[in-house]
Amino acid sequence: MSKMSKVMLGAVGVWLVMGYLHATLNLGFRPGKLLGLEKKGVTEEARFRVGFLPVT
Amino acid sequence: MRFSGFPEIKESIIAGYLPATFMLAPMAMALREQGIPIKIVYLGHRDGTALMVHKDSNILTVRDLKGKRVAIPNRFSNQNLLLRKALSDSGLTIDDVTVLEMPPPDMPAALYSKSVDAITSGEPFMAQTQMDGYGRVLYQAKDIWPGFISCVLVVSEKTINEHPEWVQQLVDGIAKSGLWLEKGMDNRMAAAEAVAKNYYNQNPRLLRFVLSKPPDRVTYSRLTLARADFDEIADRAVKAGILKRKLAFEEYADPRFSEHAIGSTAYTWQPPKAAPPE
Repeated sequence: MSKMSKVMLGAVGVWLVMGYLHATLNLGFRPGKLLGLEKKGVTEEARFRVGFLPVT
Repeated sequence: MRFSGFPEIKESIIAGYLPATFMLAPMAMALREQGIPIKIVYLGHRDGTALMVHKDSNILTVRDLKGKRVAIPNRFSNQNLLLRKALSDSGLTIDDVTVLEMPPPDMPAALYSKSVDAITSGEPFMAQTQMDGYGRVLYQAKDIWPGFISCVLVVSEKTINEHPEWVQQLVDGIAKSGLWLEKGMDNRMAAAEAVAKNYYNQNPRLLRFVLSKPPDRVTYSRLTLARADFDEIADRAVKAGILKRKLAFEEYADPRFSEHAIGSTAYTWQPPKAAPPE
């Protein structure tokens, strides 16, 4: 592999990593959810919230 | 959802974030007076409030509070009305003391450091001062105002209209839990353990203390909405200037769910057996 190809490959790698970080940290992309490894948040959202202060 | 102050709870229900919440009874009435579409549907408990002074203080009777600084949870609290009643019963008025509003979790430290002379709020913060050895009970709510009501279950009218079955389920659950708690000290101790770990994030020993010393420090029976109780709160709130006018019971309360829960039977829940010591 030529030196130029290695530089190109490295640049693409860096771009992919940066893109992934941007998607997960800034855009809320959750790969685990897409792969079905993460539980859906629907149950949490659908919960009936009741507020309380820890006093009687 | 656990909150650390009543103003945040108030804002959350106004914003529609909370469909239901436990809230100070006069605060709920005041919100209703201001046109917020909420209704009181049930009680959370009765009694469960005390006024604590420092154990070294020379305050031995309510009359000794004259000229002292007293912390209350909120202007719109029943503790405010209770303090006014206690002072009135002893020939004093609210003008004879300096009242400060303070979130209940901050009260024990304020009493310990003697930055206030007395604190009054719902448990377990009052018992905490007693258990830690620097607080002394000046009065328990039940001795001043029998059947005292502090927090009530408030639900938005939107939720009542759209999902009355949810509201009924919640009320039935509270009724059944209350009956279960009143079945004996074993149940109270089991509840103290479960609630301290899963909801209050507090020392189970503190909740065991609150629920047992004395056993009627907090009571979980008679949680049905009673018009006479709320009339008394409304009268005292108007007199205290918390409410502009005496609201009719129907304006701020929806007793349907409470009435439907009459005749409920206690839960049959048994706490998990503790693992034997190794």
